[in-house]
Amino acid sequence: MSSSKIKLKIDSLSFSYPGHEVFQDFSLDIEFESLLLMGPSGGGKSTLMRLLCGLELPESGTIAWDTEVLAHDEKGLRAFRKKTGVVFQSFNLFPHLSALENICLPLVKVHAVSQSEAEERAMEALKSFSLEDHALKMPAKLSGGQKQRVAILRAMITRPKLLFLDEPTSALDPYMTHEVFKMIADVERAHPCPVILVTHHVSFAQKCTAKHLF
Amino acid sequence: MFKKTWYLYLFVYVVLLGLLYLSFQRIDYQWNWSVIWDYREKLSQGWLMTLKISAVALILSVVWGWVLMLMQRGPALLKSFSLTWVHLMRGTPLLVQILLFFYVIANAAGLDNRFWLSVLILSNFSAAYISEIFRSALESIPKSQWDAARSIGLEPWQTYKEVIGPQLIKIALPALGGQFASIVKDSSLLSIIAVSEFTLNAQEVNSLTYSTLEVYLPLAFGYLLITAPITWFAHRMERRLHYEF
Repeated sequence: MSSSKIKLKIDSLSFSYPGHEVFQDFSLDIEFESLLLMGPSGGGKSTLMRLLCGLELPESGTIAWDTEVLAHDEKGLRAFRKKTGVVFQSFNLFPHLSALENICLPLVKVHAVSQSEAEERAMEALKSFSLEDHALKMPAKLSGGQKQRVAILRAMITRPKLLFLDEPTSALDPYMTHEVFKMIADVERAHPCPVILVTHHVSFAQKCTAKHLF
Repeated sequence: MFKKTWYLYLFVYVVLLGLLYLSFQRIDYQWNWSVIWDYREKLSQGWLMTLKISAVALILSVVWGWVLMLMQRGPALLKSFSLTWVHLMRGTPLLVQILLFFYVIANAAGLDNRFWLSVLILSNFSAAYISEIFRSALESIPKSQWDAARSIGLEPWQTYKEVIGPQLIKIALPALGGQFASIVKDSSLLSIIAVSEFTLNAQEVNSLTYSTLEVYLPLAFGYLLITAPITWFAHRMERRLHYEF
């Protein structure tokens, strides 16, 4: 999918939710362009992805991307998250902002891009995927597929160094699933970066040259 | 919505006023408006004082209510203090709080500015309710919104300003509008510590003229003059902020 490789080194990672241990002393050393996380529901795929993208703090152990070891405090993780893009299963668009505003928000507020430049870039991105007619619509007025495509653009507009996709098509019908995967591939081609994807879609996994982690 | 159906609202008002009028006719009430007219200046001064106390208390109660809510999300000591304080303020009558704060606490601390003490007592009472409105609104915002805000790298204050705040205000607004109207009405209890507000002045005019309803009907109208714009504004904001989840 992408042409840029990255090293991931996980060392003695432990993490648990109250009353439920998810990882105990988990280690991994791997280099990949794209990584597919597959496995049964409740198997810890999404938790691993949340740990990898810095949305959860491990109880112990370290995660390193190339030479960057993830911080063990929220401030340090925030600095890391600024360099990544995350797409969630349930889209997680901000319901009070239009599609355009959703895409502009990280550019303007986090990456100090001017409002006019952000809007220009966001419109350009929307146009590339024939979504320009929906730019001013609120998320509630968009279909599931449109919401997820806007969410992908919001994650990619900042040109992240890593893209995390947490079951991005599980809430979509087969046609939209195909469209979204096609879009991910297109976006990736325009701006290559390593992708970490949690998915149940074996067919997609088979087509893809990515490394698989079960 | 209001523009299209204004005549229905007018109709309801006319019917209610008509019923009131017929009731007065039936008991053959002898009106004596001329006596009240002589005290119009005293009544309007009281109304202005109520307006001032309510306006300042409204702003302070939002600030203090927000702080109380944030304390509940903070360290254990602050959380315990906030929960206890909110429980006490919501669980005891405002009348008792006014007496206790004014005659005991303020007296012991050597404070005697009735206006500011009134504002503080009223805003503290209302803040307990507002903090609960904020808390329930905040808890109803899905965790996924925090995740999304964190994932794009927003700072905590930016998350509140750009993502959580606008959604919280939208959810809290209907309850806040009601609470703001309550502040105005609750200010009438301040008459017991002789703050020269609308109700106290009305009580004084009543004791001078013995024209109870001629004083208290304008009193009700005076409160409506303040609460109606608040309700109208809250509804207008609700419509402006309307979006679907």
